Amino acid sequence: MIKKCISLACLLVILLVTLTGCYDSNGIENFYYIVALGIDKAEDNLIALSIQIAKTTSSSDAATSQSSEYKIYTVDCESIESGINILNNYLNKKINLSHCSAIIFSEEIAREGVKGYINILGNDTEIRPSCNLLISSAKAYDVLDKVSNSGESFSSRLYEYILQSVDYTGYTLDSTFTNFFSKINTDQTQATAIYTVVNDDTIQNSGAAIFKDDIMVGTISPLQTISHLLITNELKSCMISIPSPFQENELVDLNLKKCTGSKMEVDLINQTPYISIDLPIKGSINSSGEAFDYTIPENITLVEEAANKYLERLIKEYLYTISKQYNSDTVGFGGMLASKFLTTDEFNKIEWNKIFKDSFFTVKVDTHITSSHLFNKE
Amino acid sequence: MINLIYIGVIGLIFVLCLNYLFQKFPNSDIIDISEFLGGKFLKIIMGIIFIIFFFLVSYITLTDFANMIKTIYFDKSPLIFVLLYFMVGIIVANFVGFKSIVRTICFVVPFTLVSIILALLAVYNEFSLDKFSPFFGHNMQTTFLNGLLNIFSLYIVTYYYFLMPLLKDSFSFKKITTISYIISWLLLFFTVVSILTIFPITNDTEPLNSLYLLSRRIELGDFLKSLDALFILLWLISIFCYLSVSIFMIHRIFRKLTNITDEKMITLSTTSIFFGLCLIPFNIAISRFMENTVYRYLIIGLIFIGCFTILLLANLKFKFKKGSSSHK
Repeated sequence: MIKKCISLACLLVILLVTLTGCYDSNGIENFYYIVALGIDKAEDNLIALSIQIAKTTSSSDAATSQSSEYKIYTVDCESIESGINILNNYLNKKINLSHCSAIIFSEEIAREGVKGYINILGNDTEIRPSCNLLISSAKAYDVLDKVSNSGESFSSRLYEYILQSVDYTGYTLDSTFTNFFSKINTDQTQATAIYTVVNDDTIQNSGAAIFKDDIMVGTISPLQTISHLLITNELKSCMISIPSPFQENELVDLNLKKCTGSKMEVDLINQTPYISIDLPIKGSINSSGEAFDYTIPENITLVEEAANKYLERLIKEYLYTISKQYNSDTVGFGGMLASKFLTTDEFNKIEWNKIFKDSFFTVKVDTHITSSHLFNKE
Repeated sequence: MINLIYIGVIGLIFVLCLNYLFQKFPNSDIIDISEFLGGKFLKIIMGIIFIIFFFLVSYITLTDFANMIKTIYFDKSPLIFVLLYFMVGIIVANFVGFKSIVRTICFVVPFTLVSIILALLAVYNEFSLDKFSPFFGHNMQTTFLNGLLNIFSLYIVTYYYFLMPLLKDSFSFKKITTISYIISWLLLFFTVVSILTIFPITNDTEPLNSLYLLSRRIELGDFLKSLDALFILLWLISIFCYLSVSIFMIHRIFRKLTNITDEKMITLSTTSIFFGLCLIPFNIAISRFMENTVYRYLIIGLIFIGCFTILLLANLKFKFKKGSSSHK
């Protein structure tokens, strides 16, 4: 009994002495939480690191938990780590990346390669896997500066709101840090990232940036991005306007939705890849004008055929852009072909990265249209 | 993935062979069997080798895990503090006794199982067989010949050599080893599948512990996010249990070698040696060499070749002795 009491007392003393120490404790008041991080090219082989910090207000003053003001700090530095160190020295609080919603690279930097930066950030435990990666058509600083100029006051969640548009427009794609990191480190598929166009005083996510290894090689348009999402089965929903099969110069608006069951086949004939894609797509008519009566089944079939034709053309355009123009397998056809080989050594012999640009594509779209019940027959 | 299935099957055959070979030696562990085969000399040699082995594997596991914990959560705290918490846990567990360690393991294992399965479910949407292709890896030689070295990951086999005397009923040895081996292999399989689903095969950069990065991806709908802290807590308790069992094994072997009555007496000494070992400031190159080369070849050499040979020879000696005594 005495032995037990002594053991318990010793344990308590150890815990009291060691666990109550808080000399290295960190509270939220000790940090500057970065909302977004921008990386630009600077003079003399340096980079310009910009950080956006939401200004915090005391809880009694603030109506919501979101700040409506922000501040951007920029510093020229040799690396991201040294830039953060300089800013840590300049600011009176330590910079913390755990709430960073977006990492923005300027197109100039992306075209030179981003692997070095991504690997440094990948080592940072504060960066969330869900943090988004954006490529700015102008300077990354401009994206930070103009993000809140869309008629809406600044919020630390603004980036999340802007990026969520991919769910209902399909005009850009989901490019999280982890996905990007994985893709630039594999040979089986190439990376893509959100492409942000900077206008006079606003920014707009428009299409996607295409990478070959870690180097940006070009961009695709928003409609081509829809094609990418359809092929990779990542489309949640989007709106497209197809030419009306009933009247010239008229359009039919369709709402497309993700549909499982797509089939892709990659064959290699005489060192040339032949890729066939079968895509079942669900759609609904949003508006048809006065051109046709959507309650007649034959008319729906005509719309389906028109949609098939339109989408097949769109998807082929995208596929030939990534193959012929950029030679970047962003869909991952290489991985599909690799499954037909027993070993990596055998697969490497065909030099997929070199022959992908010679690919031929066959696309078959099977659209199934239903009435959306959003409008009534006039 | 094929390599994992391949070594899993070889490991299972190995475990079944162990079951057969241990039939002749109920209530004996590998130290007793060494004594039977080569007398006190072999017993002492094997005992010392196993003590060094358990110290080394515990050292590699703890330093790796403690460094990860420090990097992620206790950036400012010295490593010695992180190590101290583990040491306190090991001392308390070994003072309280093996039964308590076993009960803690029984409590933790189901949660750990759930955590691994949750990790698998978290990456379910991204799962594609293409990510594991070509299925035979780089080439047949690396998968089947060089890949045989990956059998070290089935390190659980080590404990089977010491399990028999710890069981109430030695007849259940066969059942326990087979079931525990299958569970262990399944956990390894699920973990590897989950990690390979999000990190490509050709990815040769490992910025952090892959399992930790995987845990950061786990989300339960939109309601529960950033569950990594919970998973780290579970793995922390699992490491506590693992280290406690390893130190307990060192005590048991030491007791057999020295004939001391109560192994608890040396708990503080062994833990102090272990603590001191963990404080040796090896650089990352030496640590990686120990993890990737020394650890791997030690397990294969000692557990899968050395001990198995001793067991095999002991069986032959037993048969020979039995044959000669019946002949008399």
